[in-house]
Amino acid sequence: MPIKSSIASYKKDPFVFCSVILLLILLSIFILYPISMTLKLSLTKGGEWSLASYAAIFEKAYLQKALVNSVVLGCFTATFATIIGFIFAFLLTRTQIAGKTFLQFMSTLPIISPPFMLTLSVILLFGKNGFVSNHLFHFESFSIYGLQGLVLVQTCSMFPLAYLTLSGILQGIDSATEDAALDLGASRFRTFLDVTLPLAIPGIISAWLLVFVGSLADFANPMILAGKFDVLSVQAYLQFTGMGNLELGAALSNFLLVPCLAVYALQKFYLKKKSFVTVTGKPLRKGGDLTTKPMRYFLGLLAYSISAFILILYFTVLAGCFTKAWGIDYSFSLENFRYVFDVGWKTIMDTIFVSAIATPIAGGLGLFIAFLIVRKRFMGRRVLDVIAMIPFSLPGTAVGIGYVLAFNREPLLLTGTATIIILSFVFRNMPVGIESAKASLMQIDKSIEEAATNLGANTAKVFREITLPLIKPASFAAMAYVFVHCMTAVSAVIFLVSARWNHMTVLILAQTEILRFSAAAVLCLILISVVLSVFWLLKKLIGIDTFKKGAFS
Amino acid sequence: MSSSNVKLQHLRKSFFDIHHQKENVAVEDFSLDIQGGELVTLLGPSGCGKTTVLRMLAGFESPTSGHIILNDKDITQLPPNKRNSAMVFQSYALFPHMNVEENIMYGLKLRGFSKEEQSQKLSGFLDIVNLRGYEKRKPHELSGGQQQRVALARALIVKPAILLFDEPLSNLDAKLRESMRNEIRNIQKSLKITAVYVTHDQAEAMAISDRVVVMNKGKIEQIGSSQDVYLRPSTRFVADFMGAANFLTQANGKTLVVRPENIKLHSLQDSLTGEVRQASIKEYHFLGSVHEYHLHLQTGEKIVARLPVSMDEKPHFVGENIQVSFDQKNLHQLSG
Amino acid sequence: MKKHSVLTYAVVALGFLFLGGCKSSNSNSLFVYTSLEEVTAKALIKAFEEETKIKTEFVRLSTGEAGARIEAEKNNPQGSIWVGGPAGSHAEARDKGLTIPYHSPATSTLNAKYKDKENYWSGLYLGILAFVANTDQLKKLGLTAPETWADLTDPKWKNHIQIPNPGTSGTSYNVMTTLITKFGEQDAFNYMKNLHKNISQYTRSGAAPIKNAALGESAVAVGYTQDIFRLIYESKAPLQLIYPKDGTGYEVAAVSLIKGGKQTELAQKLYDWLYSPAASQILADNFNAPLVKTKETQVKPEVLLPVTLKLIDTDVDWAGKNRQRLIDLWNDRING
Repeated sequence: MPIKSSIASYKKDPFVFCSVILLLILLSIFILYPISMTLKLSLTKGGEWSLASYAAIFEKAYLQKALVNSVVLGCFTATFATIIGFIFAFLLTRTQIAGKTFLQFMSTLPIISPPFMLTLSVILLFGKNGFVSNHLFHFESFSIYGLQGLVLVQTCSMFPLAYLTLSGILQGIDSATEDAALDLGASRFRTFLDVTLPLAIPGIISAWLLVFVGSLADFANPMILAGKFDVLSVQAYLQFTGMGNLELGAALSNFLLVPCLAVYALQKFYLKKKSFVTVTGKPLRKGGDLTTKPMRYFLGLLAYSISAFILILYFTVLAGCFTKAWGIDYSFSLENFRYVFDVGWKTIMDTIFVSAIATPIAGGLGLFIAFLIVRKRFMGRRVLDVIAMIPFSLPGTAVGIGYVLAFNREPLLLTGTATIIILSFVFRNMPVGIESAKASLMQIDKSIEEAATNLGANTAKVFREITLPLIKPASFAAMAYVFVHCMTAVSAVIFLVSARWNHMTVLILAQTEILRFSAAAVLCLILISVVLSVFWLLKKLIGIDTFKKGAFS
Repeated sequence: MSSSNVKLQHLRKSFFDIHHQKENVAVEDFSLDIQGGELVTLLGPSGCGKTTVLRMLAGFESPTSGHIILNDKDITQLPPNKRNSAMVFQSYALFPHMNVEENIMYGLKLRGFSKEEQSQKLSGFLDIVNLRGYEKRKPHELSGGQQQRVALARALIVKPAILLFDEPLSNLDAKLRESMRNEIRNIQKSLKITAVYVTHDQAEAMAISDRVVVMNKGKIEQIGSSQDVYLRPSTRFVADFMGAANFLTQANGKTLVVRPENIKLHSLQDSLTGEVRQASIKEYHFLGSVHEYHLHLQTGEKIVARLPVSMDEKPHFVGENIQVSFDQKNLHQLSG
Repeated sequence: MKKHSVLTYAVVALGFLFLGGCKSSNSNSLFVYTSLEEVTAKALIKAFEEETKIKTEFVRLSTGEAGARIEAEKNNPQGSIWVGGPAGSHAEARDKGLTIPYHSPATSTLNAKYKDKENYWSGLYLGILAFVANTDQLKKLGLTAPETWADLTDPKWKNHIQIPNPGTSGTSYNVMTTLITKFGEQDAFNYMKNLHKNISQYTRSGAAPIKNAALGESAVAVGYTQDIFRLIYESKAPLQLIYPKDGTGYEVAAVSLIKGGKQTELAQKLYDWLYSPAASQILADNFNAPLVKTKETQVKPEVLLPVTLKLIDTDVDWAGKNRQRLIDLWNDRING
């Protein structure tokens, strides 16, 4: 936009002008500044400029191993998760399989769970002293720790991500094209190969990449389950917090940053163009399945088995809460609840407090930014958009380290406070609010707002009285997801907790490490209960339909 | 290749609505005999069941009861890919990742034709639909009308026994619609393919069909030629749907259908014979080819008249009291 | 929910945000970083609070984590005192300029060997390195408990031993320095390379391996006697403690004041109190052998060392200065 006209447009609308300036300042301080601090630290060694830390990643054998391990783990997880996600998405959008509601629920359940839960459960069942591995059977040389356990747990946790991407893609494919192929004589399998699959490929790639970086950035599960299988995300944490090699920790987390940002950019700019999704695609397939009956049974069996397995994992955690001493004494006991309320009550309250504060701020800010980006034209619009979305694509470790480095000195001395935790939540999750608001705003006809302006309302009024009420339902749904993210965050927040402010997920990790699995299970139970209650509350307030469509990226 | 005949016998399609605990009937007792080489149009407002019938014919919906017989073979239970029908979809449903020639030849590929045979046939049909030169284009690089023609060629090339059209022109603008419908009709006629056409546009239906089936709320209102349904509608619904219509209740209780173009206006002084009424003009609009007058009859009814425009005649004016006469031979009495 | 309430809520939330920020910096509590066993720390802090009425809060971090945390916070230290963790790590912190000296009157009776020459840290108790074996697991494996450090590298123990990660745990680093003192750096690293084959997991925290042994997750673990004794007493797990016959190392669990801490005066009070009879008794109750005690202090009988045990002294300052280098080396050569 040419300078003269943009300045003129700013003059016309001072509200926009001030808001944009303010926002850019905020984003610079809380997004760009921490990232630059991490970058700066990683490029020093003992106070001087040096590429030593980055070089170490390629020179030191143990870091090379961690790198290779991370990539291998990512590939396995991404592949399995994409396959499973595709099966679910396909069954739910292309067939008439029974129990769709159940399958849909199961495919999104892991999202609202604390990051450790499946790991905890897997240890309870298959650990050295596990119920299955030790009590029911006697696995001698089998160990759940390491690559195999991680693939299992990560796949179960992340296939919902693949499912959501693939479901979106499949729903966007006009089912008439598949009808056309059938009509011309193609068998159902042929139709799938010739039409559905090729059109779904951009989505499949997208899903694979999303899970891959998710696995790379995953910190919670490997912390507990990796055994001797070193991965970069944990190394970054250990170097920074345990071994005192802050430069290396910063370098490692920046290293993780690169694939995350790359995938995000790829997603946004390249894959969208390659997508053949039609805007007018009809939602679900009417009429017959796109599979033969036996195939549907087979796929259905897979989907139900996986769902059953995940349910078993959840019930295991539930059982763990009430068990006296898992692995040794399976008698019923409420001791764990007593212990948790004794040791963790303050942490539980702190976590809810912090999440409850961060959520509306993230939602509100996100909403406002989305409004400016979608509805207004001004110089720097693109810049605002890009910067605001960056934190979501970063691995939590990078955000955590960045915030510790950035806000440990005047004038913003925030380490050890609740503020720093809240801020990291706000800016990390704001993109969710932005994306959802963008989507709803684009669905609302611009002319409604134009009518209001025409009648005399200024930007602020239009936003408050016209736009806000119309997008309320979707933004509430988005806020629900932000709340979940805040409650279940661990990889950023573990750097930011202090003597004064702890977080439930960090406590769960600590309990798991000192092998108090039942206590960890109780904390997981409490966490899920809080999340589900909030969901239920919001559902009551805004109604079920808008909720299902709610923005989740 | 001889044309195929199709018999639709007592087709019924109903759904059970769990939420409201009742049965929804989309199509009720639909029967129709289609002769070889005929183009029959299913015409009606949205929700009348015409598309459902078409989809049952194609195999995308299963009839709750009834049979579909194609050339003496009962195909009711056959899946869509086993029937010898081809459909042109409303959204064209072109394969977005394939170019024009790949789209058109897809059906041939499925049937195992060699590359040479495919190319040969392709060539012929490209000319028929006038798309030579566009072979390598992708669907998103084509205009609506061009996509339409690709869809048509794709369906024709496999030589289906019946050709099905699901409102193929509704996404095109008016002028294009007119030229495309004539093209479709001409191709269908020259290839002598039996065709079933679905539309909500009555002008389109009348222009291209051998017979028209007027549907309403899942039932057949009338089956007949274009002239039949327009000039001799059997129900009030058909009369009203096929075009603008005035309804006058007569002394014997029967309803008279008077089309606007069959009304003449005369000054009060003229002496006239036959069906004549007194009226005053309440509204006047100039429509280019006709003058449109909204009249209040002395007997209280309101009617609309459309008279051809002639440059040397002045139109009547609003407020004028005139006499109205109806063209006797073009009046139609509704039975029942 | 009315539209205004969302904005109001947001504004209120913003208010809390800054309140939350202010809350922390205005606190008058004494913040303690401790690397002692959680239960011990809790007991000590509780007693200190009751006796002195000084509100105290603590966070338990492993040695490595505590050191890193204090370093990361050096511009705005959250804690005022670091209690526990081996003297070597306190020496390292001193060298990095993170701690301040304090000549506590309570340490006058302390042996010079167990305090820093310039009063930067002083010792609370000695932790002796020992093995613990789960006898049930041994039976299952058909093995007898290891008796020497050399035993641990026997291939029969493959994947059955757990020790902490030397980078994050003082316990494990202590093992490393002990081995280096005993065998020299070259041989010690060869030893550790062989040991590596038998390690199933390097845990993050120092006490995890022996807890794992108690649970049967590992057959053999290395840890401090105070932790092992507590486990044997509390968990009723089938555990056997073994003092290595070829000599063993020990740690001097130390305490130092953090530079720039917000409550240095209160921290000094705690520092002094840790040598009081009350504190010594608490340490003794938790299976430690406090370095400063009175005639009345009742030390647990198991804690008394066998006369035949050879203790290997490591140079604390040397251990502190070389930690980073040795950890890097370990990561490179053993972990890679």
